[in-house]
Order: sequence, then C-alpha cells, then structure tokens
Amino acid sequence: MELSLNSDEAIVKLMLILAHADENYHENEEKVIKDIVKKNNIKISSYQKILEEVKSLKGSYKEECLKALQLIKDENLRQKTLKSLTNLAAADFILHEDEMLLLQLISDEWGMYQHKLIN
Amino acid sequence: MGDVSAQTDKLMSSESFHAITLTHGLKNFGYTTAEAIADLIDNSIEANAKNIEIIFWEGSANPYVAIIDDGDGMLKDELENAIKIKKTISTSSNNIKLSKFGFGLKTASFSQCSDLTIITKKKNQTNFKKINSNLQTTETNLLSLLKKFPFVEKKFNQRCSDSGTVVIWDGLHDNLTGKNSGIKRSHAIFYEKGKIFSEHASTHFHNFLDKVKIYFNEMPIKNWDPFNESLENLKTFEEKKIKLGDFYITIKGYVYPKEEDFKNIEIYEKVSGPYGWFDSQGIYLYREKRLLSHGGWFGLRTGGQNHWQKETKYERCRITLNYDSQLDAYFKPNVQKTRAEIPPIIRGEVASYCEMVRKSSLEKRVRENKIIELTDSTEDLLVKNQDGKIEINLNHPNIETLLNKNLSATNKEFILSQLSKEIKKKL
Repeated sequence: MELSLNSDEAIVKLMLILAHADENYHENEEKVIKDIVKKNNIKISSYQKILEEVKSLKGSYKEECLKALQLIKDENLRQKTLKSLTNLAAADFILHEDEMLLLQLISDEWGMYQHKLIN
Repeated sequence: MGDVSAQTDKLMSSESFHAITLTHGLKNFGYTTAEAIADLIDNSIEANAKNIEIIFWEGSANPYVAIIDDGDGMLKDELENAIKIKKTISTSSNNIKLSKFGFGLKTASFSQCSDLTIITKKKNQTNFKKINSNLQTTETNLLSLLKKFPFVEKKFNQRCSDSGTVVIWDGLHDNLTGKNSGIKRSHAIFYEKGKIFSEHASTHFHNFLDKVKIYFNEMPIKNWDPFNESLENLKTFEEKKIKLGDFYITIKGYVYPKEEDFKNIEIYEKVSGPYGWFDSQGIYLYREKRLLSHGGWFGLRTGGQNHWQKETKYERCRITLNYDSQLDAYFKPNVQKTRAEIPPIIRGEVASYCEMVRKSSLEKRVRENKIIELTDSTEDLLVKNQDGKIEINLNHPNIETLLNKNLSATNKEFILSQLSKEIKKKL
C-alpha cells in the first residue's frame, strides 16, 4: 500500500514496525495501535493492509524504521508521532532495545532527542 | 599469566619495542566491552569527574560508543601524552591510582573499535585527536568531527561547558555491534552489551556512585552494594588489618541472614545482586575502593583442606578485602583490572579470617535448621468450636508461630505433620 507523505497512516506503520520487531504482535500493543487508528479516523481496511505489509517486510528493523521515518516530514506530525511513541513506551509494551534504536533514529533524522519524549 | 606489570616493563624497555605491535597485542588480552568501558571510567574518576555518560548510539549511521565526562579535561600536551605508548612507565608514582598502567585509553578502546576520537576541554582550550588502531592520526577539524556525532556534540556542550573529555569509539568490532550476525534485530546485541556494562558498573563502582553519577544512555546507573551494613539481621565481623610491606590491607566479613529472616522477598532479591547468592559468596577484592573481582575463594584453604570452592552452604558469606594501589606489586592486578591474586605472604592470615566467617555461617545454619521456634505443647491443635465443629486451635503456640513468622520449609512441614497426626487421632 502506497502511503502518502505526512499521513496518519505513516505513524501507524511506524508503530506497527516497532510492535513487530520481535516478530510477535502483543495484544496490548494491538490495543494501543488500534486506539491510534480510531482517534485518527483511519479506515480499518487501511490498518489491515498496513499490518499485512509490515508482517511481510523483508528488510532489517532499522532499514524499515528509516524508510517509515522518511514519510513523516511535517513538524506537527512528528510531534504527534513522538506522543504516540510515548504511549507505547510508557505502557512498556515494547522491547527496550527496539525502542532505543527508534528514538536514536528519530534524533538523527528529525533532530528530536529522547528528553522531548520523556518530558 | 604472571606479573603483567613486569612483563610490560620488560617489553617496553627492550630494543624491539614497537608501539603498534604492543597495541595489537594488548587488545587481544580479552577485554569484554564492560571491562573496557570501566577502564575509561577509572580515568574519568581520576580526573575528578562528577558525571560520566556512556552512550551506545546506533541511529542512522554506523553505531558508536561515547564516554563523556565533566572532569578536569586535558591540555594539548596532556592529550598527546595520553595517546602515546611510552617506552617506560612509572609503577610507583603516587599519582597512579585507579588507572594503574596508563594503557587503558588505547588498549581498552582498540579492543572494541578501530577508530578512537578524543575531544577534551581545559582552561577554555578545546583539543581533539582522532587515531586508528595503528596509532596513525587522522587529520580532521573539530567542526566536522562533531557534525559526524550530533548527539555527542549536544552532550559535549552540556557536560563539558567548563572542562571535560569525550572519548568516541568508532568503527566498532562486529562482536560488539552484532553486525554480520545474520539476525534482523542485530541492534539488540549492541544494546545488550550496554546493559551488561550497566550491571558491571553498578557493582564495580558502587563505592563511587554516591559521589559520581554514571549514566547509560541518559539513565542513571543505580549502585549495587554487596555489603549493605544497614540490613537487618546481618552479622558483621570486626575489621582486621594485615600488614603488607609498608601498608595495611583491611579485611571484613559478613554473614547474611537466611531467606526467611529478610523483611521481604524484594530486599532478599536485591541483596542477592546481579550474580545471585551462589556466585556472590566469597572475597570481594577492592583496589582503592574500586571492585576488581567479586566473589570466589581465591583458592584459599586452611591446614590440610582442599582449596575452597563455591558451595551452597557458604553462599551467605561475603568478605571485603581492600588494598592500596601501592601494593599492586603484591596483588598483581591484570591489565583489565578484573583479576588479582592474594599475595602468598598473607594468604594464611586471610584464610584464617575467612575460615572464622565461614564457620560462623555454618553454625548459624545448623541452629536455624533445628525446629527451635516450635514447642511440644500438650495443648490440642484441633478444638471444638461453639457449634461443636472441629477447627484449628488458633491459640496454639505452634499455630501462632506458623501464622506470624516466616518459617523455613522444615518448620512448616513439622507443624503440618503434627496437625495431620491429630486429625487422624480425632477422626
């Protein structure tokens, strides 16, 4: 599925990549991501398409995160992405090292550092 | 392995001395990542740092490790000196405390990476140097260096506004990064090494962590003190001083309470530490308060016994042994500062002290295993209530003990067997 630049679907894709890093989509992760889908009025069919795509990704976690980050250029949407990440991180639903790498990629690519996420 | 200090002295003073060969040789001494970083932390503490940040950064480009401190920093000639492999080293200098050989920056670094960058600030001068494992300097400028590591630049500005030093390991070896491991989540291997370092630092620098803050990826490392003197029911022994050369070593024993005598399971698990009770027994060897090795019995024994091994029955015994760095010639710490030996001249005295602690822990254990809290009261364990139904007598001293005390499994079994006998009798 071709995702457009600066779309809410791009955030969902990033979250799904993070959730699938350990090749196991935990029900709590699913709940948090579905909440994001609902809040942003994303069609369930779109979510399912992105989910299928993420499940069949061939690249490494880092490569796929980097590709997904390129889809989010808008400053407001980047802030929104960080907020969504906070929700996942605060609930501790994800593996620490995957989360750490994603935060570092965001720092490198967007110039946003971890403290922005925590504070 | 013998006396490393003597070996290196000999090597360096020989005509065939070649710094590059030495660097390549020493890097294969078997530093783990945690030990290599610990070696640099020694330098930072010695440079009076109050904050030391360890960054494991993967991000978009190649992964790197950075060690950033707010210590004294270095002037240009000090920096040149720090990266040189000298032909002679002073093993008797009063200034050499934690750092010991003065190799750490080079050998520890090149055991983990192929490119070493140092940026340091002192007296408003910022100096930098980038060298590779062949000790060749790479020409560069500060701006392009910092541009390559934007997160480090941020940290450098934050931590080293007055003075401080940044060490960056670039071109990390594959076993640290997980590169070429063939797994999609190779970054997990990299960060796992960072977590292992955190555990190592929490133990080996526990005596410093109240004055110096060490962070791993911006999270403060909490100290794990194997000797928590404020712990309830901890048995402590009088400290003994043993003369060695012109100095004294100090030795002190502790016997920890049994599991049931801890206030709660959380404290019990915390005191067991990152290595668990069994592996935490034995002698903790400190050099200038910095832990070199934790646990084990150093092959000690007393008259006619076999060399002591770790045993479950002694898992609650811990003993500190602290020595001054001036006594290195006796203790012979290795380059990685993870191992030393107890000098033959004091082994007998140390073993006698340890034997006293070990025996005491056994005595306590024998007493604990007896069912001393329980009575052979003739009072009935089962009584009839007002409705004429049989129920457990909650006023029976043994039942009270069962309900109110953390009993060992043996004690619980004893009371239950008493109950079961009485049930059979009454029915």
